[in-house]
Amino acid sequence: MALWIDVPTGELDESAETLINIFAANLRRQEEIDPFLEGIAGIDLADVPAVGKPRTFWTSYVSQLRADGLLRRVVEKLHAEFPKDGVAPFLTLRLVGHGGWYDETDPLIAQFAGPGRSLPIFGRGTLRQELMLLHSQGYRTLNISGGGRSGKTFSIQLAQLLFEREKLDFAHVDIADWGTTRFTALELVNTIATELRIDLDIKSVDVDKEPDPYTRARLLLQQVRQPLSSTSRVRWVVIDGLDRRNAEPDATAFVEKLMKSIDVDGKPTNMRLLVTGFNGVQPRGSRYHVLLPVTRADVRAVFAMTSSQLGRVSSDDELEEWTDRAWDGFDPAKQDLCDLGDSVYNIVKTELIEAGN
Amino acid sequence: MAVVASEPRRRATHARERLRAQTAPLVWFDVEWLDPPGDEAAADQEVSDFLISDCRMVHSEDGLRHWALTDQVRKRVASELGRDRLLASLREATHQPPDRAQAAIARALEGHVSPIQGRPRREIAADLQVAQWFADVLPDLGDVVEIAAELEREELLEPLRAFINDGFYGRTTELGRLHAHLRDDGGLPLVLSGVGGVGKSTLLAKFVTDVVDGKQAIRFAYLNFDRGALTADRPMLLLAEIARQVALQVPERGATWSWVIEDLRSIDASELQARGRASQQTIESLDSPAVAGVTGKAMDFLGSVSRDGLLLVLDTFEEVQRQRSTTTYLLWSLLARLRSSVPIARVVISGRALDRGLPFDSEPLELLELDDASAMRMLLQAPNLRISEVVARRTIDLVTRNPLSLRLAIDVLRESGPDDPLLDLELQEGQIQGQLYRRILLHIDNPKVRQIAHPGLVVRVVTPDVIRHVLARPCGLRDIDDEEAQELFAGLELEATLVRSDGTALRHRSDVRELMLPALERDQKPTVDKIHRSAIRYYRDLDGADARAEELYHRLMLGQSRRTLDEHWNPATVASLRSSLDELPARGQAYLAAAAPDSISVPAAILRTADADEWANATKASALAEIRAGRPEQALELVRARRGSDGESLLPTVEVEALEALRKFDEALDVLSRTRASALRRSKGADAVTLTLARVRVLERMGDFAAARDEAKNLRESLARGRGESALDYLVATTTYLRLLRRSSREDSDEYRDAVAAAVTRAERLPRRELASRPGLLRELLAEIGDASPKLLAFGVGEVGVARGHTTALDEELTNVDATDDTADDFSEEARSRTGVKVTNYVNEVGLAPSFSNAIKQSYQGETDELYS
Repeated sequence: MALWIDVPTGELDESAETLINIFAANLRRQEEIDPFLEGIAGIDLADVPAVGKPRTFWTSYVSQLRADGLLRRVVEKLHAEFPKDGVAPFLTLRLVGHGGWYDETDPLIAQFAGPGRSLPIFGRGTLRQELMLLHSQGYRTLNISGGGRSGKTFSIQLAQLLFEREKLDFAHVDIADWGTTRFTALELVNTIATELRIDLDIKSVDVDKEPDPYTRARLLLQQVRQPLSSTSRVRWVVIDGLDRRNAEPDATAFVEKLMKSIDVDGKPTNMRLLVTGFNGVQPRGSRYHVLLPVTRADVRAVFAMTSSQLGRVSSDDELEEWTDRAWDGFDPAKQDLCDLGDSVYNIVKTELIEAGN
Repeated sequence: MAVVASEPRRRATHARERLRAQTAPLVWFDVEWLDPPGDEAAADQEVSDFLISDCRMVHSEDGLRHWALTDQVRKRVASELGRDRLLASLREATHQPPDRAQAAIARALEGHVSPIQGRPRREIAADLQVAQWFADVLPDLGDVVEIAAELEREELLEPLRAFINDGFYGRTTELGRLHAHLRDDGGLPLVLSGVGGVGKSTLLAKFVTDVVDGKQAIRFAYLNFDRGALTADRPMLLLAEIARQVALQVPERGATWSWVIEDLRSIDASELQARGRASQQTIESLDSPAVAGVTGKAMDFLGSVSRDGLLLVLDTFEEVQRQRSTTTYLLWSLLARLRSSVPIARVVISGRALDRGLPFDSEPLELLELDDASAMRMLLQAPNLRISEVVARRTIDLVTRNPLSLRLAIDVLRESGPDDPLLDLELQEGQIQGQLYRRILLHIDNPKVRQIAHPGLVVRVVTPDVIRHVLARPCGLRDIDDEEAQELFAGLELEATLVRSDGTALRHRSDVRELMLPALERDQKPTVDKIHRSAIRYYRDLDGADARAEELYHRLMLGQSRRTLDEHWNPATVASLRSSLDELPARGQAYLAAAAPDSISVPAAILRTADADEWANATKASALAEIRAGRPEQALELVRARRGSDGESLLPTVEVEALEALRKFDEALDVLSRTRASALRRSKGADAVTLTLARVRVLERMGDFAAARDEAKNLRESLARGRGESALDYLVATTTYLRLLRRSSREDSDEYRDAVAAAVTRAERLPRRELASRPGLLRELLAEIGDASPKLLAFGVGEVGVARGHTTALDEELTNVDATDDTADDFSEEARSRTGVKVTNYVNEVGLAPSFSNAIKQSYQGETDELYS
């Protein structure tokens, strides 16, 4: 199983916190470790703030490693180089935090996904089917759509589960990693190439001179169709957040052209494309799924299914009470799905995991 | 997303609250900017916890990563703090990121909110981001939906404005014509036509932005067929795009109509396909009741928000013309419908050489060169160029007043300066741009690069390898090594007037190539042919569709035989080759039209040069499209325009379909009998299968179930033994057989049960994408086996939809589905595709009761039986 540390992201979570704690508590001889760290990750430690503040240093450092997709490599090197410094315990944890509490990895029925299996998946029966259509039924592209707070990004966790379970190659581009910075087609192409470890040198392209975003997108696509093609393994590309404000029109235009190229022309070969928030034109044969709002029944189903999968017997009254606790305080119009997810996860932790122990 | 430590999982400390308040009004921050309370160790812990729980790393314009509050935390904190504390926090901040969104936050908190209309797109995007974060505490920012619509509207307009950023010269008369057309079009579209580079897009950009910036609230939609994904054979999609663009201009109304756009897109994806028959082509129409309902709603919307006018611009229309003729017809049907529903709608069509072959009347406007004064101003006011009026006059005399020529000349003048003696080169009649091209060549210092540049533009793509292995010898450079090829490539790459570079390959500018290639083909034929042959040798050894496209391009240019071309044909090359269609000789164009009839059409004069097979392939799509358009007589005329050597039909299945549409069944059977016998004689098994299926269909429609059943049974058994091209053929035969058994009241027989089991096994084994490629088959299959395969039914319902109002049983079952949908009270006019998606969602979450699957199956049976009567 792939460890969560394989996924490049600008986000932190309980798992990252655990690793930061291990480093901060055990690797205190920073002057000894610094040259080593610079050597293996290529990060200039002068760019990492808070010398003299070990925990803040490690927080920033781990975050950068994770965003660059280097975390696994550094953890393993640290373990080899400083075996007595306590990195080993981390490596023994398959899923940090509450690793192993939830073993269901079938994307069709899993109720929790994400780092530490801390993110509940509410319902999403059709989305699960859609992912399988891409995985094994010949379809190549899928656009997950839905209004704000519908959980589009949340749904990507289901895809991650599929990637882990089936050991699939993938690139994950999360436009939220660009904050308020313009996210252009060129940025998109470079990120995909980096994640797929494809050597592309397209800085020299003078796309900015073209006024039309579709022309810029076409010029870029001409260059990457061949390099992105795979002759052997299928590779998935996930582009999350095309409806974010910082996504430039040429990024959307590029996705439109890439989608058509994959679906109609079969190029790049062996590629599956999963996007969220795309509002362009999809070719015929491309899949489109609109996420429906999460309902109270979906929340109850998560408790019921998880309870059953963990081998616990929960009464209807218990399920109702847990559902009330999670659902009653949640306002779908104002709050993010993450808030509901946190509540559900905390209840499962308290009522099904800790109580079960 | 980050797993946020929400209350009470981790109670916020005073320090945490302070850190949140400090960072809430900052789009990003660095750790050094933070000022946590407490001693060093405690502060270290607090900051670390804060970063882990509340923040994420983000990129910034400076290329570095910084910290930022997650959206979720920022919104919550802003709501708790309120405007005054956010402003105080911002004023206390020691640093502020140099970022548009940061400036927008400052403006908003300081109360300096200005209207979004007319502001640059990126400023609007920044405002929108701020509104999404702080809408709760800063209501003055405006409605998020309206700002988002304004942003998308600016995204539409920005490329158009970019066309006229460097100035707009002349075209007073043409602009006047366009504005007059807007006032009164006489019921006709205006067709703006002109050669490449004459300034059509610039004129349109000026016109559209004038209209948008004018006093009247005229709505507009700009559809550019150069976009690729937008094609004229998807009228529902085009209407959706028109409605989407117009909705952006009336956000207060547009949001309530968004479901119409969703429905149109959904129908585009499934509705029209679902009504086709398994063994026949899709029948497309805008007139079916289900489609007409949504189309009508879209028209209502457009009419209601376009009181001052609706301008529809269709750009790069030559792309539509390159497709089959009935594609234009489909588009024209849509426009006619739009014009009748929204009389104030005006249509402007623009493209190259549109004077030939348009299937509708129009008001032509041909764009020619600039007037003299405008040409002078273009030269004298060109950015980064200072020349005298004398030089400008001399330049115009040399290159004419064509905007492309003037742009090329401006490039040359920038490079060489006005005193360059070469500017006095003699003008040759009829060779103005060619002269200019030669002058550009003369400015290439390296003579070897010049040799490669011309006649090197015979190849579409130039790489160092192409220079070495394709161009060097024919261009007179003899053998060169890799290093020299690289140097020549680098030299040519500098000539931006001639080529565009992507770093690894150069492509000749299409306008320059269009201009020069015919003369080159005519004047230097032996050299040109040598380059073509050399290119074929080079590309045939390379892998990939791009190499195949180049290889085929050169084969087509050489006019190679169909047999040779067939041996090297690759469908993945169509898009690439289509862009060069006009360069090809007539024979090459005819071949391409035959090889890709759904994508490419050519004039009848070119088609006459094709052989029988090429003619049949190229004609088939047009004839089928005539049937779809409800004109079977025209289809018959098309397919009977040419016969085989024995007088046989070259397109028997299409001819039969047209005869069926005219209900001339006996005649259809006669055609089928003769051609099937011929196919069997020539051992063309696949043709025989297709013809047999057509024969079964005709017999069924005649009501001769017994004869049809026997033929279907024999065919199915034959295909089960491995005879036939695909698993889909077997499924078509089995489905047909099942339907005939049912219609002969033999549903309780063993043979029916056995066939159902076989069909389920085969169908479930097929990849869903393959099955969905024939939506008609999918529906007919589900009509027979839907209740025996819940998996296929759940998938198929989403693909082909379900219709309300046909059977009571299904309508009753659908009430359970509707109970889960609180978006409307009345679902009677819901598009079948939308209902289908709802049913799929319902089935995936709740499950499928036998009564429901049976109701769906019966509904499909009713539809297919009607189709085969």
